[in-house]
This record gives sequence, C-alpha cells and structure tokens, in this order.
Amino acid sequence: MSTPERSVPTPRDAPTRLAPSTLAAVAAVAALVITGAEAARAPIAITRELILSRGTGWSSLVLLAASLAITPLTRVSPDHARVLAPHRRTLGLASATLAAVHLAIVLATGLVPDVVLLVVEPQARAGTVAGVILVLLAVTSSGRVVRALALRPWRELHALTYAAALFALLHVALSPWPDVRLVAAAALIVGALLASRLVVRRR
Amino acid sequence: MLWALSGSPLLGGLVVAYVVAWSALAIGAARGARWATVELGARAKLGLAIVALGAGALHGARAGTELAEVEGLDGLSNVLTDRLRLDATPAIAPAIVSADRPQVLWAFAPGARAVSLTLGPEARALDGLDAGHGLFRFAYDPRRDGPAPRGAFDAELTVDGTALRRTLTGARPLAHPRAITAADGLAATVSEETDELFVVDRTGALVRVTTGDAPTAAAIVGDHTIAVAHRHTRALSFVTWPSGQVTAEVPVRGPAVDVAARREDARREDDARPEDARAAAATGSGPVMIAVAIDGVAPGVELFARTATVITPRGFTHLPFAPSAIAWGPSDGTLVVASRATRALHRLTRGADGVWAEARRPIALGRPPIVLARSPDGHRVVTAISDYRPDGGPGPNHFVEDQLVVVDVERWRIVAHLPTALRDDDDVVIGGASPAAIALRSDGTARVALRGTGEVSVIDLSDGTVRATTRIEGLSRPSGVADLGGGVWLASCAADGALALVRGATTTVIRVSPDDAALDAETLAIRRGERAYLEATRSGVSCESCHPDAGDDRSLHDIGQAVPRPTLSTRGIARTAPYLRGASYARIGGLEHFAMVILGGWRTDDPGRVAALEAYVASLPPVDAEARLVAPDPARLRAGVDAFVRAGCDTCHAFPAFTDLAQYPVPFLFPERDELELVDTPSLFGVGASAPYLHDARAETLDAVLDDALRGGRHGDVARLTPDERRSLVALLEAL
Repeated sequence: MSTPERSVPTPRDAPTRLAPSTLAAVAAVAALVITGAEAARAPIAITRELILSRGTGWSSLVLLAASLAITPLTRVSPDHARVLAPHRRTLGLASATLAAVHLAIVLATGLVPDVVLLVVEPQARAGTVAGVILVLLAVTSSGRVVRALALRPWRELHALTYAAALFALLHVALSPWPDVRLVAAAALIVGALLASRLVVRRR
Repeated sequence: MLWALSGSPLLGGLVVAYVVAWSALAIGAARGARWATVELGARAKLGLAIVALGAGALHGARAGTELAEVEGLDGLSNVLTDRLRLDATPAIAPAIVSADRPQVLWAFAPGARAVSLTLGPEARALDGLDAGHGLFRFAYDPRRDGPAPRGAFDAELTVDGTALRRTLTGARPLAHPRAITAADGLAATVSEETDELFVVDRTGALVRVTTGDAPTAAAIVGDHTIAVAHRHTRALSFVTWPSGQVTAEVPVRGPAVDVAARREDARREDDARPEDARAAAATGSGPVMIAVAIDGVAPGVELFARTATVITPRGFTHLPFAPSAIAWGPSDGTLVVASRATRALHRLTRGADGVWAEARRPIALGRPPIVLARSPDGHRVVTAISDYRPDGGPGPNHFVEDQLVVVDVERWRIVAHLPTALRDDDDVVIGGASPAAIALRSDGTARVALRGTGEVSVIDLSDGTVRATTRIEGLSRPSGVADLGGGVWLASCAADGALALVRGATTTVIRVSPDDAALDAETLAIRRGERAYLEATRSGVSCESCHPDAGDDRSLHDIGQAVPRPTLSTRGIARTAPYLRGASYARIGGLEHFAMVILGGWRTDDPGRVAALEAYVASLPPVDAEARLVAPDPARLRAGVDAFVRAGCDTCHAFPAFTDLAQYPVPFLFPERDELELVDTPSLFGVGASAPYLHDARAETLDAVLDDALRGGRHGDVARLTPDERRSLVALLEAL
C-alpha cells in the first residue's frame, strides 16, 4: 500500500505485538465512531451529513499520512523496523476503506448529486484521483501481487501513495469551508514526509 | 513525458501517464523485452530523468494558466486567506468600515463574556452587545464614535480583557454629487458621503454647506431656500442661499430618500428667472407643498406645506413598500412614487376626505426605477430602467437594455419606451448607455445624463431621437443634470466629485473634491474603479446596469451559468472570496472575464481597470438600511440568534460573516431541484433589503424563505422553531 523499503517484509512474516490489521481496524472504527458521535449531536440533517462527510474524509487522510510516516519511523528507529513496517499496508488499506465510506456518504447525501461531478468538478476530481490511486494500490498490495510484480516495479507503482496524499491535500484545500489551519498542518506533514523520502532516496 | 505529449491540462493526467508508463515497463519486463529490462548507467538514468521531468515541467509551464483554472487553483490563495481571516476566532465582519455612515459590525468570539472593539486611534472603544452563541454586535457611528482610519488598519478587539489585533479596511469616500434639482436659476445637489449641499447659480458660483448626516436629496422651495432630506438625521433642513444658513429644521419620521416640492410660483424650466420667483412669492401665491419619501422600517410619504414664514406638517401616509423617489403629478392631489423594491411606479391620489391612497394599480416595470423626473406641468414622469418586463416579475429578459420609460400620469400608463443604448442595423450597440439622470424640458425633450459613456444627450421623448450629445471634458460619468434656465445647464459626476456648468459651447468644471492629480494612489484607484464600474461595455451594459448604486436590481440574470440567478449586491463583499452565485471568481477582478466574454468587452482599453475595479468594490460598505442600524432589544436579539442556531442556519451562514464562503450542490439544499450547479453561500448582511431570495428567487419575503425551508426541510430546520422563535429569527435577519 505504501512505498516499501529494500527490506520490506510481507505482512505474514512480520512479528508484531499487535496485529497490524487490528490496529488499523481499530483506528478506522474509532474514526467512524467519533465522527458518528459528532454528527449525532448536530441540529439538522445537512449539518450531520457534512460532519460525516468531512470526518470520514479527514480520517482517511490522517491514516494515509500515518501510513506514509511508517518508513521514516523505521529509519529513525531501525530496531523497530520489523514491527512497524507491516502497519504501512494495513493503515493504507484503512485509509482506502474510509475514503470509500467518504465517497458513499457524499453520493448518498447529495453532496455529489451526480457521479459526473466526480470527474468534472475540480474539488471532487482531486478526491477522485486520490481515491482511484488508493484503490489501485490497495488491490496491488497483497503479498501475492508483490511477489508477482517483483519488488522493484511494485515499489515504483506504490510511490503513487505520495501522489494520492497530494491529491487528497488538494481535495481538502479546495473543499467548502476547510479549516485552513488544519489544511496547512496536513500540507506540512505530507510535505515533510515526501521530503524525507526524497532525501533518503538521494542518499 | 507522456503527460506532456498528451497535452492534458489536468493534474490527474500526470498520474495516468505515470501508470501507463509503469504498466508498459512492467508488461515489457514480464515478457522479457530488452527495452524494459535494460540496466541503464547512472548518466543515462540522469539524462532520462532530465528529459522526462523537463518535458513535464515545460508542459506544466505552458498549460499553467489553463491548468490552474481547470483545477480550481486560480485564486485559491485568495479564497484560503479570506477563509482563514474568518476562521481565526475571535473574528470580525464585515471587513470594511466606512467613515461616512453608521454601520454594524459583528464579532464571533466563542465562549467570551465581554468583547469591545476600537476602530483605530481616533475612535472610541465600542462595547459589543452579547447576542449569544459567541456572537457580539457593535453599533458604530463615525460622527459619534470617531472616524476609522483610511486603508488597511489594525482594529483592536478586546476579548475578556485580552487585546487582539484584527486587520480591517477603512474607507473615507470623497464628495459624490448626484441628482440635481433646479429652479429659480439655482441648482442644488448633495453628497451623501461627505454630508454636504452644493448650490450653484447661473454664474457658476458655488455655495457649499455642511448638512446633517447623509443628505439624500434636495428641493428648491422658493425664497432661495433649499429643503434637504437626510437618510440618518431625522430632519428636513431648510437652507438659505447664498448665506448657507439653516433657517429651519422639521422632524421627519424616518430615513428620507427623496424630497419633491410643488410650486405654482415659478417654473423650473429654461425661462425661469429668480426675479419671477421673488415676485410670485411676494404676491403670496400659496404654500409650497413638499413631499418627503421615507424609507426604513415604516416607509411612507410625509407632507409639509411651506409659506415664507411657517412650515406645517400635512400628514404621513404609510406605504406598504419602500419608496426610492417621489414626484408631484399635475396637481397637488397626485404623487408619483418610484420603488426599487417593487420594481414599479405607484400613483397616490388624495381623496375627497383628504386621505392619500393608491387608487390605481402600480405600473410594473420589472426592473428597479433608477431615477424619476417630472415634466414642468407634472403631466408626465420619466423613469430610467435597465430593462423592461411587463409582468413586473424579477425574471430574466433576453438581454439587458437600458431605456427611458415615459408615463402619462393622468391616464396612468406607459406611453413610450426609449432605449438609450443605441444599436445599429446589426443590433450592435453604437453609443449611449445607462441613463442616470433626466431633466425634462417644456419642449418635449429631455436632457439625459448617460452615466455609462460620459455623455449628456438631448432626447426627443416622442420618438427617442437624439437631438444633441455633449461630451463634457472633465466629467467622465455624469450622474445628475438640470437646466438652470437662460441656456445654462449643470451636470454632476459622483465618480469624479465634480460639477460642470455648461453655457453654450463653454464648460466650467467646478470641483467639489480633489482632482485625480491630488489624490494618493489608493484613493485614485478607488475613483478609477468607480468610473470603470459605471463604464458601458460594447453591449451597452455596465456593472451599474444590474447593480444600481452598487447594490442589486432585485432581478434575475443569466450571466453565463445557463440558469438565471438573482443579482447579488456588491456592497460589503470585500474579503469574502469566491464571488458570484456559483463562486465562479476567486477575485473581484476576475469579473473582467465576464465583461470581456459575455458583455463584449469595454469600449476603451485600460490596463489598470481590473485593479481599480477591485479597489472600488473592496471599498464599498454594506447597505446602511435602517433596520440594520436600529438598536435591537437585547433579549429579542439573543432570541433571534438562538433561533438561528437551533434551526441550523449557522452551519452554512457561519458567524461572524453569516457565510461559510462555501459552495453546495443545489440538490443538497433543495432536493426537488434537479440542478447540478454549485451555489455559493451568500452573506446575510443586508439580506432584509435584497429580495427576491434563494438561488432561484422563489421567495419574495424572508417569511417565504422560512416557509420554503419547512417544505424542503434541508435549508434550515425551521419546523423545530416556535412561532415566537420564528418571528425572532426574521427580526434578526432583517437586522443583519
């Protein structure tokens, strides 16, 4: 799901204290519960729908950033690399799942009243591109596909994770009434993760 | 490289190109193709990277403008900056403070108990009225509280004892002489912005008098006396020429927007002479009847009778609509009232019982009457409108067409439509534009100030023939015109802050505000922007055509979005990007695209026009309607804000600007509408005076908006409000 390092273990051979899939699932469910609880307190339907839409979208971006942060963390703490690395894929899958939930909500509530807008309207289109990348990476993230593609081509394809993050950033920056400070913080984090990755590659 | 070759103006194309290239390499490698498996040396890799990235960068640079536009990046920083300003609580709105008028500002400071606001070093601290839910209301009157600085300045917002800086923009408008009234060889005009009356005689001598707050109109009532009506000072002032002394003041019931005098003792036209008036007054030929049009929360017409020694109130007639101009008919028992709110002319007649009533149906125009002029005998009135829609509705016409409408007052019907944007055989506008002022003459012609072009034309009212046109040097956008008699006439130009006395071929420009050379760059940009705002395009339409007085024309127009939408006011919109109903433009200056593409472009080139337009629109404060300025009952205000929040209005009409600057698909708010367009959340500042409402103008009143919300259930949950809460909500909306 994210760009692997040279010593990337597949999910099955990673000895962890907490199963990566469990952690990612807990994170995704927690995000949904918190968003749902916030929405339940809203006074009117459209407020609830906006909270659900924004909450799932932002949660997806946060999990994507968390997935991207795994590689720098393994460099900072090589001793924990084998523990941390498997979380890249599961956090990415959780991010893709929440993105799918986000899409379902915006389609169901009429925030995107026609699927054509997913391609035509700039803000929606940026989200669509990010979502399509996430789905593409999700279906090519299993151990079988990794082995089939061989490590190097697989890694180059999954470099698109950063593109997904950038398009997701564009999506939130163009969105109606974004919290500009939150967008700036997300941009800083994604920018730092991308920069750290580029620096590592140059070395 | 593939992205560059594809020529795609989309960022997503970059991803597709990457995936295609990757797929080709992966498939090639799987099949053992040499080109896909060859190991490149370091230099070859570097060279390939440079070629690929260079091609992509070159394509990005070439398609940059289109790419930014297509991807919504054009002006994004502008939009985010404006959002951040409102997001950074405690926040304050609107962003513009004008030194010429009372106004209301709102601060949003969640959790605060006490908030005060100081608008610069010359102004005193204002205590905010706690409206609940973190919202505080500030009533600012520059006359009482001291002027705010000009240009960008830091206002001090003190929240529970902690002082914070918030950047606002201060405007100090220059003198704006507009409509001119003339009689007895005198011409009078007022400047609402600088609280001044200007009186000019046939020699061009200027008498300049400071008036009450916001003079809106003047009428010459005999004895070299001028009656001055005010929007904010609740009095009709009587000023004597040439001394400039205020000899009398009589109270009026509300904001006066026009005043008209009916005199039998002197004619207003070409041959009127001061000595005639004096002689007639000496013979005691009866009182002068004065009618004052009152706007505000209790609109109506207030009458006075004036003799040389006494001014007597003659009663107040309530009107169910807001008047904008008034004129006497052929007798002192007939009044014609123009209303921009109803987009119609109304005729009031005095019955045998002395009661004034509207006995005949109004003449529906469909567009707001810009000006109202009376023939010397009162048998005819002429108004100017930007278009004509006989059903009186706000709906769109095929195109905007500025015109004069001639009305026979006794028969009470339109007798002529005279387009003022003159078209050739191919229907291309070849001259003329929006009429701003009309002076009717006894020979059946009218002298018409064409604000969009800088011209004053004499038009034959029988057939619309242009008898003569004068372009006055030094007067770019004439906004008032009147005949002083003896072949002398006067024109005014609000945008230039100047008057021009014309006698035959001789023109004398009388400046009432500094000329361009004396202005600093910022003020000059605003003045140039105002001129551009009034300037006619090749289609004959100017910004002013649909935004009279920079407000709205209460009508619908299709300006390229395929679905007609109601006009929005351009007042108070500074720093609320993006703009227009569909949020089509991230900058005010982006509207040049609309003028160039839809309206055919301007008739003259001016590279500084866009920046000037931005400066002008950014300097406009919100409309100063009375309902906004009246000090509210605190409990009622809090109940209104509470209802606003309970109904969920603040979800989109967020505090403190009453907009979240966001856009929503139409069906999201109005599921019954099968429209894919996005609609921008309009600010609710001045909403009480901006009917019709909603994106498709389906609601004529604020109550109708709430009824509509009850039906759809998504544009605010009004159903949960009690009748009293609903009344409080409407009262709040009218006060915004």
